[in-house]
Amino acid sequence: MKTAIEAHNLTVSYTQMPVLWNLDFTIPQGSMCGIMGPNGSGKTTLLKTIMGLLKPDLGYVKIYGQSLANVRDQLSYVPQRESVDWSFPATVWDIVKSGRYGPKKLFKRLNATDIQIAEEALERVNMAAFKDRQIGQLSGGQQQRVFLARALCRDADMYLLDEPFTGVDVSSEATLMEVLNSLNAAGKTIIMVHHDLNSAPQYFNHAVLLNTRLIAAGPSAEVLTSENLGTAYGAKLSILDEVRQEFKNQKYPLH
Amino acid sequence: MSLYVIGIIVSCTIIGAVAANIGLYSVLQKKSLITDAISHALLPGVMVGFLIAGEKNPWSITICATLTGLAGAYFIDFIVKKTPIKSDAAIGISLSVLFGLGVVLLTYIQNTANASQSGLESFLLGNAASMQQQDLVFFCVLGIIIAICTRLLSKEFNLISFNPEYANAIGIPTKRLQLVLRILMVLTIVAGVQAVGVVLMAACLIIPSIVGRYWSANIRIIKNTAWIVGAFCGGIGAYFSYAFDGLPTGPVIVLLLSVLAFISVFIGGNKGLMLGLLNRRKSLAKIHSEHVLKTIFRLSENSDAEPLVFQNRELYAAADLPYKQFNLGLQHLRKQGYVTLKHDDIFILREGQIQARKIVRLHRLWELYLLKRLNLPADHVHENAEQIEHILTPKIEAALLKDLNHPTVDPHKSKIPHV
Repeated sequence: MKTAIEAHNLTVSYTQMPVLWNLDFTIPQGSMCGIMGPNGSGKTTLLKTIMGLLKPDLGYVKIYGQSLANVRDQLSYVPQRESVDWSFPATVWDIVKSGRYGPKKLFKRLNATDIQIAEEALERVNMAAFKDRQIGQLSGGQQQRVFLARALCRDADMYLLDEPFTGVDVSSEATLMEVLNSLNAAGKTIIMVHHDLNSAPQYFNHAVLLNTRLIAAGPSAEVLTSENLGTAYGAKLSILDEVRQEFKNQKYPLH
Repeated sequence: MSLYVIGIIVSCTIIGAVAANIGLYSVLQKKSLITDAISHALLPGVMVGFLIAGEKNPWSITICATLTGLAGAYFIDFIVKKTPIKSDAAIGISLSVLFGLGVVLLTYIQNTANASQSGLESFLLGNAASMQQQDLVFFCVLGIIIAICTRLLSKEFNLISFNPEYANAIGIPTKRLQLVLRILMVLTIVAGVQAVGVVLMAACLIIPSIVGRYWSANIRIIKNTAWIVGAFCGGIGAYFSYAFDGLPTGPVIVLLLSVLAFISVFIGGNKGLMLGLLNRRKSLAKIHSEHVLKTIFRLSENSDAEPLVFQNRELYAAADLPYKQFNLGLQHLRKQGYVTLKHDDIFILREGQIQARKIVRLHRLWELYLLKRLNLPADHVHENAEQIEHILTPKIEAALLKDLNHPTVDPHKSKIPHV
């Protein structure tokens, strides 16, 4: 099986103390993969690093064996729903069609194919009836479906989603999962930051479990064992947190 | 009106439209005050530009002012990034320091008694009449170029204003576009300061978008409203300042803009204050009418009298509502065709009886839901149901019925009526 994502010695930090430390793992192509770990364990940081939004201090991420710039068109990203201001004066349609934007579309209008793809994406997440609705008037689940539709417009091979089920009602979660499963069945790789341990084993066939360092990565049945989960969620790295705070307070010049 | 006056009006119209258009993005990115900092930062640039050229040359003034404007904006970014000072304080610092520097330079130039310096002080509060013919052409062309650039990049500007991280992730050069947007913003302000003045220019960028947002929640309509408002106030303001000799253009334009803004805040079709009051009145009338309906139900629950008639006094006494509210509710029921009023008699029509059963049904269903699903004690559920009954939709009613398995009695052992 081909490798979708390979991280080698991946270390990322905002200040001087890494939030991700020396990660080595691979995610095979076509997997339905959950990135799991407690709050503050670096799940979102990992996703953003894969998407090139954060630069690693050390190590690298390779996608299909290449660097991000060569394969960006094959990736689609769904950011956290809370990361934007939903009172922004835009309609559902405005947001969804922006999935067709990109460096090649600079200065250009969307063409008929773009419009058709965007309409199909909207249809696929059951939001066609809300096309002209203000995004601020949607429920959390509907907003998340809009974000997924925008990602679907990219017609990508790999979908990376950041906590798509946070603040989402049960029926929207089912709709979202249905769409993701059908993508996965069509051979697409799905990688998702997820925090609900109960649903994880049935959602994913692959998992990456972190807490600053990698706890385990591989088939989800082997990763999400009570022993691994105990390591990830149980012993807090409290001394590491203390050192981190000390750095912040003292501003030691390290470099 | 001479050709020159028409030229002034046209150029102020263009500047008003362009400023409104580009200002929308600063409002959407919640960075409105940056525009004020930039416009104050232009003053030293204008003065340096004058000193270099030795006269009011639009090229040298535009280039120097653009540089200090950008410097002011990046100074704010620098302070926020490198110090614990927050952006509001950083804007205050950058704005006053550079403005102060500009005023010092202006005073210095005025003291050298250079004959060509006349009109430099109009950069403070703006005076369209101080623009020479060459200035007019120059700034009109500049304005049109800015408008074209903004139009070409508008879909990307929308996206980086809404979700810059996503734009970045799909490979749109977000940082470079932010820089382009900032340069366009500075150039717009440069084009406008001679007519409007550094002190007031920010209003031309911010207020039109505020007006737009009070009329629509759709970005295209907001943008179109904004630039039309900007163009209108720019043109009319320039005309007023010409017609009433000596009126400074900037304050006139800003006053016109604020009048439109005030009107929009009150009667705007999107979240305007009047609309809120009207909606509140409407929903209050509905709530009072539903309380009257419940009283009707209570009084007739165990009788089959047909037709159902009450005396006004009798119903009012039973309703336990202040008279004004009771009457408001009653009039609402009449308008809906649920009751007819004849002298002191109130005839409850068939539709009224159905509605009465409906509201009581919702009340009792909700009480039961609170009791069963939230485990609230039976004597605590009434108050909440009094409020919630008014907003339960048929869809929620169906869900309640299903969830509670089609109940027949409420927590107080009263029957849940069928409709």
